[in-house]
Amino acid sequence: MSDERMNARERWGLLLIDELTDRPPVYPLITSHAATVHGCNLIDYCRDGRVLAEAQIEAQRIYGQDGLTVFTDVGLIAEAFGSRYLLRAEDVPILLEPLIQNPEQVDDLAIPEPQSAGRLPVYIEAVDRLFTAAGDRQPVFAFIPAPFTTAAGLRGTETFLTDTILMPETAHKILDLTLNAALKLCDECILAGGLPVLVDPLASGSVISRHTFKEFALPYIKGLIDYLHRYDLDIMLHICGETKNILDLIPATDADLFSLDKLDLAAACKEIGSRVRLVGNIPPNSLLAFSGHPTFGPVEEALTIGMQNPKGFVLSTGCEVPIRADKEKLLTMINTAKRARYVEW
Amino acid sequence: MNVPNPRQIDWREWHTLFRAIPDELVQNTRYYRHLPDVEWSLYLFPPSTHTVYGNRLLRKLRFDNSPAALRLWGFVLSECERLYRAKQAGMKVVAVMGDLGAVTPLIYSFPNTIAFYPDCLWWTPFLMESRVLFEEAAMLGLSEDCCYVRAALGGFARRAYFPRPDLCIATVGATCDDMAAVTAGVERLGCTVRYLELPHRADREKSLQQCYPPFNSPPQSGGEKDNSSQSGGEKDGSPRRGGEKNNRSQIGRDEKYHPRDELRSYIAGQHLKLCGWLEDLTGAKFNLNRYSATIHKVNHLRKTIADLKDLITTSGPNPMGALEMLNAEFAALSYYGDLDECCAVLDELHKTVEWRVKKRAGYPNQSVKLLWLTPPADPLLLNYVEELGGRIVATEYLINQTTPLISIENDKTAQLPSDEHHRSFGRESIFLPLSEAQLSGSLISSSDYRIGLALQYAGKSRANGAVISGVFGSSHCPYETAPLVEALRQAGIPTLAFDVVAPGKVRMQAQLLNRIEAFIEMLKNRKNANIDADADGDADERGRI
Ligand code: SF4
Repeated sequence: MSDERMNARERWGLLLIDELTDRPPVYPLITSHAATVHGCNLIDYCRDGRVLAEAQIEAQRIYGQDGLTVFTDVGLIAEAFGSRYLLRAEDVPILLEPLIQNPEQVDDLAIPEPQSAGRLPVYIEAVDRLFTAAGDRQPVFAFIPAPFTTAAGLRGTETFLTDTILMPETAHKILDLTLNAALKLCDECILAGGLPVLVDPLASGSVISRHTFKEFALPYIKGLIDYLHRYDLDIMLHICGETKNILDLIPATDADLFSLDKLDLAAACKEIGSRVRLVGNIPPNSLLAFSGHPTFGPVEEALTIGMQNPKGFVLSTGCEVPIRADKEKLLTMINTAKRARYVEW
Repeated sequence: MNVPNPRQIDWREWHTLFRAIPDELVQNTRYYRHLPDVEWSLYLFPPSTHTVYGNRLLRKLRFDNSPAALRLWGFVLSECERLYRAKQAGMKVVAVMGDLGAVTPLIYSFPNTIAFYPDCLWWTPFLMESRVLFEEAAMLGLSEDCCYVRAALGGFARRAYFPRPDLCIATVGATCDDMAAVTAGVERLGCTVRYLELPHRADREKSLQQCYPPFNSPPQSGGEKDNSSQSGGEKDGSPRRGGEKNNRSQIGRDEKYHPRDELRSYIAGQHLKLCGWLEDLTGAKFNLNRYSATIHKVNHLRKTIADLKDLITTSGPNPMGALEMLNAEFAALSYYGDLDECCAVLDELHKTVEWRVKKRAGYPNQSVKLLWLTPPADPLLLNYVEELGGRIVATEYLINQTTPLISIENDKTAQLPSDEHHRSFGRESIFLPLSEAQLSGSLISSSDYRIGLALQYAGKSRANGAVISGVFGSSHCPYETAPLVEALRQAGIPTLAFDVVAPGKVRMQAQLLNRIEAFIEMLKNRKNANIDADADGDADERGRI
């Protein structure tokens, strides 16, 4: 919006040091949808760092959201280990064949090198290109699949969930590996100029129990965040789906920002809002052309609640913007949110 | 962490090495130690952290590999957050603009009050490789015909680089036009600016020349000669510094007149005015003990910086990078928002450098000694020169008002007065020592003074050459660079002068780097030729370019 003085880099910078900004950052999770607006297919988007970066720049030019995002799919690290994924032109990659068929394989696995393994170099290249092109005005968020989600991609979701019950030691061994792989990828993303964002969709309350989250997801999320905190980086944790049953555990991860999905925003503000900045949570499906959902109302409502959050708020979508989201609806969402102002500013 | 062999390393290597820094050290390296331990006060982090938050140039720079240098960088790069945190913690934040680094000791002597220097935002566009602040300034009327310090105006407008100051002070009088334009712009934004007047030092007075404690011997060459009417030289060939006739008639005083005393009193009166503003701001009365304690700390800091500058001229290999030294020198302006911590940071750096000098440890292959005049807005240039084999042994960064020790013991006329003295001679007499320091400013008088400094530093450091990094459009550069170049060259010191290229102008930057490369190469050849000539028993007449 032309009358805005502050850019995304400045706005996020102030938010992260507990300062008031003109308005909350508006950061819908525009990931693969960028390929749609750029007119490229998703196979190229996932395989070519230049295409990914160009698509993100194009999406940012059209929508003017606060922040650039590097993310293709949650299988990224698992694939770099050796799991097989099917890349699709019109949709996100899906797991074809997990690498670990037999628990004994675990001991022989090597941590993938971000510079050479699988599509990790694509990621690094995209971060680097975005940072070089626009890093002075836009923060570059590099989404890193968290250890639990990557473990599911290495072992197959159902098998891994069974492991957590029947072979917890094996599950932990796998998680140690995926944690180290995530750390290594984080390092390279940081050096390329990206701020890691942890995504752990498989750790959602829609998928696992509170107990499983506490035992198998949380310690590894925290391990990753502790490592990144040592570098004084502010870390966003995104868990989509239901998170009501684990909401009170989120501060224990030490995440600086929590990106939430199917959760009552007011309840989240009340329960953890004095300790964690909240990011959310417009339903992504409301951005589909024929969803029948209005856009304006929910955005206003989220802003009214979120802007009261003591630790700060980012207006976002609860999960990734759908690949074929309606452009006008997304623009309405963003522009509505951009009109908000903190009165004290 | 073991003391490593001195090397200059990049952000990637620091990112890895950082893992070896003990947790305890990271946790204990904090600013605002008077506040309860809060997570945000930590600052021992590697450059990669600051890269992610937008300081893109850090990916191209090379840093010293000592923990002391890491701490220095962490401290400098965390200043922006520190200023915001200061406000959040209820401290008063004073913006000091123009050549006012000299008054920061007074500001820090008030409880819970810190100062910062918006002018230093001129580095931000370079560190971020960004035109955001320049574009903002251009929208407000200051574009490429103004010094890079216009970035400060952009900073005020965008409200994201420092908190809204509780008090904003600036200079009028003998101050820079560009800075004055910035200050006017800041006022137009609705920010109240209060002014201190800096008088012209009129240092072509012979009597004044004799008064300068650090510069008792006037420069032997260059500055004495009439080189241009611009610089005020007498047409009859009498020394340029003999312009006293003109000055006298302007001032209208006789031979017994001691303008230095008058100037000093005048500035002390300005400081008294500032003192009143600070009392109003903080609700606290000026306190002589606190002031005296602050002066002692500031003197310690200034002495540390002066010692560091001396140590750097060691005959052994270069013990510290020019960028780290630049950070250290600029600490004297406003202590990066925390005087106590700043002293500790520089003490540690000093220890490292001292140790290296003793062990004759330093970077290999930096043998061409250089004097650098005017701080380079683009930090990369210092690295570049070092990479080519240059070594910065002396600097004149236009912040001379922050270098002298504030005399409270030796100078009888400038002693911190007792309450009794203060009652009989007026309150401003308290500030005479501070005023004396302010009178050493590089830019409050004729170019001769700076030329004198340049020649003196070049001689003392035995520099093989000099570099003047100017700013296109800035008010002092076009006038001062020419006589500086001429004086240095006449003294046999090859000199390269250029305008620093704004961020993003890649081709012009490439051209500049070529010039620097050619210059260093030429100096290397001269050095080798002189060594050969010396070996043949020839006298070393430093040639000219
Ligand atoms: S023109 Fe010179 S004195 Fe003026 S602000 Fe720029 S660098 Fe400072």
